[in-house]
Amino acid sequence: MDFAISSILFYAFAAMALICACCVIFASNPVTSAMSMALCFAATAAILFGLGAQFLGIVQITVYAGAILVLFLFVVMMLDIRTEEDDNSFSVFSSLVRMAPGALISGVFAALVFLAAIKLPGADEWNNPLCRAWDSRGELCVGRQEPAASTATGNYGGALPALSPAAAAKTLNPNISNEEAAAATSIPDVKLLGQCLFSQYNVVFVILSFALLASTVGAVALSRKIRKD
Amino acid sequence: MSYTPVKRPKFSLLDKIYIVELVKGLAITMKHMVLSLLGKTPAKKEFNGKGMGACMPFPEQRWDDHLPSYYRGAPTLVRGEDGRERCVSCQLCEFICPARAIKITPGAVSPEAACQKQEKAPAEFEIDMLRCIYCGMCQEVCPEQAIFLSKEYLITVTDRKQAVRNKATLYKLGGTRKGLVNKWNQYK
Amino acid sequence: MSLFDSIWNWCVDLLSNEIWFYLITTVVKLVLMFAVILAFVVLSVWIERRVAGWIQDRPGPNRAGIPLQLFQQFGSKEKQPLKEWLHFFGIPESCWIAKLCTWLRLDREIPTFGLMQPCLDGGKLFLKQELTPSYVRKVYFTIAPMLVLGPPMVAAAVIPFASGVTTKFGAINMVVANIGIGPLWIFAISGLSVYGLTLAGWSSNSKYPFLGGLRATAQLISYEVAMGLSIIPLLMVFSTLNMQDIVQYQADNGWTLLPLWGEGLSWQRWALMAPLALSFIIFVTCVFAEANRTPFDMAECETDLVGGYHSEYSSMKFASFFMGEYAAMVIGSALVVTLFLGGWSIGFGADAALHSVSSWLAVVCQFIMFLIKLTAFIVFFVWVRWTLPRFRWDQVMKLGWLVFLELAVANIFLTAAVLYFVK
Repeated sequence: MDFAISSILFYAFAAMALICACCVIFASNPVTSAMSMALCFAATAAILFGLGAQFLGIVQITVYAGAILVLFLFVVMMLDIRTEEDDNSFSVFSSLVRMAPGALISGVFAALVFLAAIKLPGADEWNNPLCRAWDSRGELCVGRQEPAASTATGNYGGALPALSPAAAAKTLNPNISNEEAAAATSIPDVKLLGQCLFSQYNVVFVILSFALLASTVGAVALSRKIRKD
Repeated sequence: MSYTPVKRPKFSLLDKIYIVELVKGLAITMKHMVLSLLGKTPAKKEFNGKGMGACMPFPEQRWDDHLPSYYRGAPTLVRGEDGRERCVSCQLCEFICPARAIKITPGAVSPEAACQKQEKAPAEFEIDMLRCIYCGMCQEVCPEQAIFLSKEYLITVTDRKQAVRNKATLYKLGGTRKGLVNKWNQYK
Repeated sequence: MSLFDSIWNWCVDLLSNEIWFYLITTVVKLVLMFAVILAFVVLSVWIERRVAGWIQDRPGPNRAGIPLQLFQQFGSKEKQPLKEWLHFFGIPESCWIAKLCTWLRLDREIPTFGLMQPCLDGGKLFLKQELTPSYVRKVYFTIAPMLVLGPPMVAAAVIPFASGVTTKFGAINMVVANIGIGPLWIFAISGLSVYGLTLAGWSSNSKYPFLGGLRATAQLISYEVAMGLSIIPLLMVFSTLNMQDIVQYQADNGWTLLPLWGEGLSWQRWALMAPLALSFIIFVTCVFAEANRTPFDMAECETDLVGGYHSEYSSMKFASFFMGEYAAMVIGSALVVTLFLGGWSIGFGADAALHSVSSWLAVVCQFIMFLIKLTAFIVFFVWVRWTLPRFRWDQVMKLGWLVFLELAVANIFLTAAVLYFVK
């Protein structure tokens, strides 16, 4: 397997994301935790960029790093949470018992994620970061299997850019022309995502937004002070 | 009632939309900008300005002629018409100075001086110009009319120590002052 | 074969390789973009001070030039360079050329109309004593200025500064990163600079900077929502998120706010003018708020917060905040110019005409046009600053959440209706 620059970047950012995720848990200062979380999001976004899913990457930065985490930081700073101190009042056994539910929940969650991951199309190529994705009839396909002949006219999907995206597309398929290679620089992920959200998952999407709206209204209602005058 | 309620002006909808008012404001600032670029600022003559705006280009043109008679510049020590050191080192100015810029070391009147009546004179008199706030309290409090605020406003030093003016410098800057203080002479 | 030929061939070989061609052109574009941004940070400081001066009936900083004594020191003290040059060209000293030179102060210095002022200011800040108070959180105190200065520089990557050219080695697109999510990239990355402000406020460990940091966070989050929503009508019209395509469309069919050629002359396009103008107003106001400029400079408002989040900073760290603010202003201006005022396009079909003469000529002209538009918008930024008083904090929040958010959402529906019924 030849190492393209993209693979090196992929592993570098993946390692960074993992290390930062560990820092979130182990840092004693809550602000350091929040900042490592931001770095973790940034690294994840970088991986998404590398995969050609630019829209998802940028949404990751805008929504998580740019808005939600800033609010986290806001709250942490406002409440002025002190650095957590070592608490030795518990025995080894009781602390194990206290950790158990957390470990159980995260274990189940990790197993779910793993199961979902191996069920995904293209999961058999887990060891190949140069995994391809393409757009066939408005659905995102991942993996090495070739698109069916009838959909071959659809957009040539993106591949991990080797350095120049066009050059990478050429290494995968030497027969495509320069124009096609240039068109292959990215998955048309804005389009795909839009089609997915507003057709297949439309009902779920609308229900979810109503749930969010309800919680917002609830929060406002709870925090509102009723004036007596 | 110890306060008067202020009537806030009522804003019309057009005022609340803000855009018209914003454009009006922009027009005013643009007018000023164009006028000063053309060198036609109305207040130019009054300020004796040159070039753009109504400014006096400082080192070439100075404020000196425009300074009012009551201008408060650097404090100085003065001698009387008879050449006598007016300061008797009573230390009132040192006491009153809000910035504590003045430091007086009292001493005896020098034996060569013509008038020996006042008994004391400053052995050293220092004013730290980095501390001085030009309030003029020293001048006001002085019972001997010995310390006056000059019109000097350009004080530039390259070193903190240079900013401390000693007695010799202060007398040199102050010069002699007209009007006899008759406290110590034969006319009293 | 001569040495020159072999070097030339080596270069041709290198450029013929697709990967090296991509790498070299990208690095050159990157350096150019970086130089433009940094130069404009300096220039906008100068513009700010000069325009402020003119508006307040002052000349502004017009003195700092390059003193000729610097050069004189190496030669004889008596020789005056101006007189020497006049003698050299045989011009009498009473001639109008000599008088003009004297009027331009050429006998004393090389005039720069005060342009040296920001450079000297920078030098002064560089040489100043750096004070780090003992009670700050050192790590975050140090990285906060970097987090303010960094994002605007990165955000500039997607702004196109000219159209493309085709060389014999391949096509060069005059934008550093030609990605399909241009405006979103700028929103996301420049939104990250809020970390710098917040961390600066928190790590200073003192009340006023803390309040400044909190205000900056709240304001940035509030206005980012309205900002994102306000350009959706624009994207509905252009139906692309790629900045280069947006500008190309404007070059062919009229600028967003000045559709006077191409398809822009159709009445359908003019029917869209109302929602687009509204979205321009909302967007520009949000850019002001995002760049923390007056009338929205709540985070560093000296009347209530001393210096806001940078109260405790000195020397180069303070300068980083200062530069970051101006860099954000430059990026904001570039974004507005690109989305609403035609970006690099010269307009009235001149782009296509120039391209038919020579694409390199077109690229150079478009680059100059882009810089002119950018400068003009920066002047507008400054002009507004010296016109409007600062808003009150509750007014800023109300404006963001109760006015602009609703207006932006309504504008989306208005645009959709116009697009549906008109086209």
